[in-house]
Amino acid sequence: MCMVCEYLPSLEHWTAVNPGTSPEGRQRSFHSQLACLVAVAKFYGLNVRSELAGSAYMTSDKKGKEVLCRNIDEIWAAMGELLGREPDALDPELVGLFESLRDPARGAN
Amino acid sequence: MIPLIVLAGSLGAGKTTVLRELVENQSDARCHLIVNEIGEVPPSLGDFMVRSESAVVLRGGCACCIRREDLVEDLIAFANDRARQDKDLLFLELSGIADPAPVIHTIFGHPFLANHYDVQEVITVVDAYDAGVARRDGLWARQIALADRCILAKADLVSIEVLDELSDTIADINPWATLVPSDHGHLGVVRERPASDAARPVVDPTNLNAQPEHGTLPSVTSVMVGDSFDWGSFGVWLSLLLHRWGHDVLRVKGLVPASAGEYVTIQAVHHVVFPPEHVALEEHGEGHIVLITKHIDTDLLRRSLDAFVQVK
Repeated sequence: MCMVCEYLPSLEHWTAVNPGTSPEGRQRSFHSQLACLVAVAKFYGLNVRSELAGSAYMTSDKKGKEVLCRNIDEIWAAMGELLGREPDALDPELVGLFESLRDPARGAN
Repeated sequence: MIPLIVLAGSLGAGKTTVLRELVENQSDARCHLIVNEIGEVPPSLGDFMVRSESAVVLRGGCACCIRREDLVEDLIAFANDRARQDKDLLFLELSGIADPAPVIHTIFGHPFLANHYDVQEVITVVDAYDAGVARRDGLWARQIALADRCILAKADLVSIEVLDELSDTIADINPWATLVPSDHGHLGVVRERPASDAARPVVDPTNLNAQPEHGTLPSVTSVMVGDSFDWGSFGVWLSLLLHRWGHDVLRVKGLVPASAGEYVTIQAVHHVVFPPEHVALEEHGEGHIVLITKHIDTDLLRRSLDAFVQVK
């Protein structure tokens, strides 16, 4: 627990359990994960940034409202709260965005 | 961690007979039982008491819903039992109307139980003789979808053709479950499955021979993954998918590359993702992910997974 803000980190989330045994692999996975989170957040007009040396995330909207999240699952809940609707991996427009990010030649569908 | 095996199956499918055999086959382990009975009348545990170290009956309700708190108390009490030994193995026989998913949720979502129990296997007993009636029930498909092993009880009462047809239907619902026929509780040889099962294409439920009267059968989406697979993005994708659609994702199972030369297993039941485990290089085959879902557009599901995490 952080002695200053009494923040209590959660038990390790499954996405952080086994991203590889090498420090380089862990680092690469962390950055890849964060970039993906930021892309989803941006699609919904929100922002996500890493906090507390990577042990937490701050999810915020453009009005400056911020929610501290201990893991990825809490980020989706925070986004739902900020947006007033749940983020959706099967949103065709979000899927189109990621298809265009993976293959810029295709463009967003 | 206490190894726990969950036994599910329809009413009258033959769970208790199979459980007797499973206990009988455990020569090295000290078997303990928690048996959930939907009725007020306790099942006959005479034989079990001889072979097992202890038996607890949860009766008068289903462990996946109204008796869930009692199940938690029994599991905590068992874990705290000072007489417990390393060789202990706990079998949890669910009632015939129980959905295994909420039980698994309860264990993984409970801070104490998650740190004391290792859910090693979900076994579903399928009544081969009465499958024509049972398969009309949506719960029948859900119990199969969540199984690691399906035991085809009363296999001696049906023809090979019926057994083959039932095996195909089960494989369409759950491509990775091991199929074992049972004759009077005696477990037979694992039925051979096509080598390409892990990569079965998306199944159109309307092609299945028997249509359920209630609800629809689950759909299976299988994808192969290669070295370009991105573990970081996959974690984002799966957690986002389960956040919105967890209720309709019955099961996720897979073997995926986490980093150079390292593979991990992926298992999820609805919203709950099991802790991934490393797999030795020589043990893993090709990377793959299988999703069993209901009410989800499988084309969009595949497209979404491909967009977030490059698949083959």
